[in-house]
Amino acid sequence: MKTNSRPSGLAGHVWDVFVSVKLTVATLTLLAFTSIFGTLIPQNQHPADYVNTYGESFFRFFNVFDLFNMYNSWWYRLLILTLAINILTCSLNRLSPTLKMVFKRKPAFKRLSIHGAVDCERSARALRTVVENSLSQTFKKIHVQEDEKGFSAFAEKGAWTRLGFYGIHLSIIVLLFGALLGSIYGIDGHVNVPEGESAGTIRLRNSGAPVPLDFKIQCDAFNITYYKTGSVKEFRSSLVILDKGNAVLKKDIIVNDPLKYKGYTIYQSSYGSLKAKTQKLNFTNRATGEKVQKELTRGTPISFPDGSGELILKKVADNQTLMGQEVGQAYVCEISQDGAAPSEVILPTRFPSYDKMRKGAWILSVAQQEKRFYTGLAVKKDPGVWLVYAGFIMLIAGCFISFFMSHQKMVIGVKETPTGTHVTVSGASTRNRIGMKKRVKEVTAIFNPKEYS
Amino acid sequence: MNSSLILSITTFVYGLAGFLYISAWIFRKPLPGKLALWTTILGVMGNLAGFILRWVESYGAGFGRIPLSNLYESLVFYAMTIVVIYLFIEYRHKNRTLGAFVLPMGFLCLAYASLSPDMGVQIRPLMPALKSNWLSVHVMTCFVGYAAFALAFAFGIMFLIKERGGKGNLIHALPKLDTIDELIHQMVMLGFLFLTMGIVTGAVWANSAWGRYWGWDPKETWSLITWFVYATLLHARLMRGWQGKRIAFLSILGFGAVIFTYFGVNLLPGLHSYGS
Ligand code: HEM
Repeated sequence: MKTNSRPSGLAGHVWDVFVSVKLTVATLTLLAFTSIFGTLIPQNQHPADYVNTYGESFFRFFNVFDLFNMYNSWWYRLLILTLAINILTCSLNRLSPTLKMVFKRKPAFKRLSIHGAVDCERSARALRTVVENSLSQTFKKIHVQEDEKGFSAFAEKGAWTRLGFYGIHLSIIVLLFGALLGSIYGIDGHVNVPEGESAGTIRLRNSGAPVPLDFKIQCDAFNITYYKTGSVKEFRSSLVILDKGNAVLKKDIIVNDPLKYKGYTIYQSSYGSLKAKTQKLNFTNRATGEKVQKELTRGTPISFPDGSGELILKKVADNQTLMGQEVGQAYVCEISQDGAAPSEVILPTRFPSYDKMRKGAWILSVAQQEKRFYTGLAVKKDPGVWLVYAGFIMLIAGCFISFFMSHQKMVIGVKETPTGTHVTVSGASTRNRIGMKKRVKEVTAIFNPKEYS
Repeated sequence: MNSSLILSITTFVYGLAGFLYISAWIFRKPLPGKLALWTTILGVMGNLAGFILRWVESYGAGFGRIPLSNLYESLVFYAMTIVVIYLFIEYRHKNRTLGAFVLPMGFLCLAYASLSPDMGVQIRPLMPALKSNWLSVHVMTCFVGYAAFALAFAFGIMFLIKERGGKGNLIHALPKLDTIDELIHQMVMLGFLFLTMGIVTGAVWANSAWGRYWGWDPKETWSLITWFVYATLLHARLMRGWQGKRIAFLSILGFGAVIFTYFGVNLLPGLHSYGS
């Protein structure tokens, strides 16, 4: 399609390159091919890992081409930009012919690309209704033009489906624009909120920089439920949004059901358990069964309930080994009683009766504490996402229109001859040429059943 | 009678149908062709019954969910889609030689699902990230797309055979070259529409679960690569001289990308990050 959008001189040659489908094919091929590398080479890892895997010289070589973050590299972006410019010039180039075809629908009685012709014995006047009936099987409105030798009939439908082209191609631009907005103005942060507490500052995922929010997120509870098989069924955080101290929004979020507030979306992303803030010990009197609980801080001695000795917490071991067995967390303490030399006792958290073996007057055990969780929340803002979604809808609609609908035209001409009439049947379709060929054949046969049956 | 037994039987029904289609092509007699068609219809019904029964069984196990969440289940759906699209084409084009190329694929697909030892035949509940309606739509649209591409691949092979084949009877029985070319194009368009919908619904799902619609993980990237390949094919058709053989080659190459997106990605570092 040649149009007057083409500038002259050198600019014209550049223009020719950018409107060409050849450039499209080349760019798409390059994108398909180069995208493979980023799936073979893990992206965005620590440089040391790469040096380990590939060795120094390959690392250098790959690094020059940004292969470790290739989807954000200058050359990958250049490919996408080329595609975008290609789409824009190509769309611009087709704009005026397309608009003419869609909106200025003047019937054109010229013969179309798929055609057939036949001689008929009947007169032009007699054929008038035959022609109109055969066209009205496919088309709603039929235009007829009479001249001294006969008449021509024209009908078309689906001219608007040519806009499907714009649906597909401009959607790519809209999509890319949405993605660009998101990458410039979007916020991608994370915050851990312990149960029962609130947070008003998030950390950016890339840089770790803190970003204050103008509201607070409070986590009332975090729960995990399990299937009978033992695998996780659901992570659920009960959240409250506090704006200027007022609880303005309350919602339980789960993985596929985030919370939205003031342009931010808050997603369930991870969780973890908190170390208990204080340590507590139970003293159980072996003779009387009397039970006393005392709080502990590392390094500060506390006295036994009856004053018969002292105890110091030396450390909390994460994974203690006792008699060749790993027993998990344990308190390592030192006790000194009645002037005897200090001795070490180990109190595994999960086995409260372990200290019975020591046969002391008081049995010591770590007080079971309620486990506290924090919920890990992804807090995001993406002002471009609605454009991306609009692009998605345009893209799908455009593909559907382009692939499964078509602009169809038919022209039937009837000319009187000495022996009757000469009938020409022609048609064109943007899609399904085979179907149109069949239809032209069928319609032609109507005028001379013998020859075509 | 449970779903995996029905599906194992269906595998053999598809195998038989493929065999009958090939016999019909070689001996060019109407009887095996008719038998092949009815065997295929029987196979599809078995396939559908297996799919539905597995769905019902998941309710029996205490967590109802549509069976579309692991390799086994997706293969079952995939085989069914391939054969259903084929039946539609046979009905439209009335040429049964197509079946000789397509039914063996349906058979291989189910055979891999039923016979491979490390397949997740057990019905497992869904992990939290997978519990989304978008997931079912995502998987279904992707697999309809992959199925259409599988047919485009079969027609691509058929085109190349016909193209270099000479005048033998076997070759003669195949549809005309421009009919096959048109079939390839139609399947690529169908596949492209559904792959587009698959990528879009996947993006919407990822955005609702993690707040990002695109993350360049290998599976996503490979589906995009596949999309680029077929977009290349659609545009190459518009260039002069790029109809026929080269398009047939591209439809075969494109299916290679599909297969890699489907199976090969699991061999790469960094899985499709379901959950985590
Ligand atoms: C990611 C980028 C692109 C995608 C996904 C895309 C997609 C499509 C699709 C699906 C079709 C319909 C094919 C058919 O009718 O068989 C099409 C047609 C077309 N595309 Fe693209 N396209 C892209 C880029 C471009 C670019 C950059 C150009 C610029 C030259 C272009 C020019 C065309 C033309 C001229 C047609 C034919 C339209 C018609 O027959 O009316 N495309 N494109």
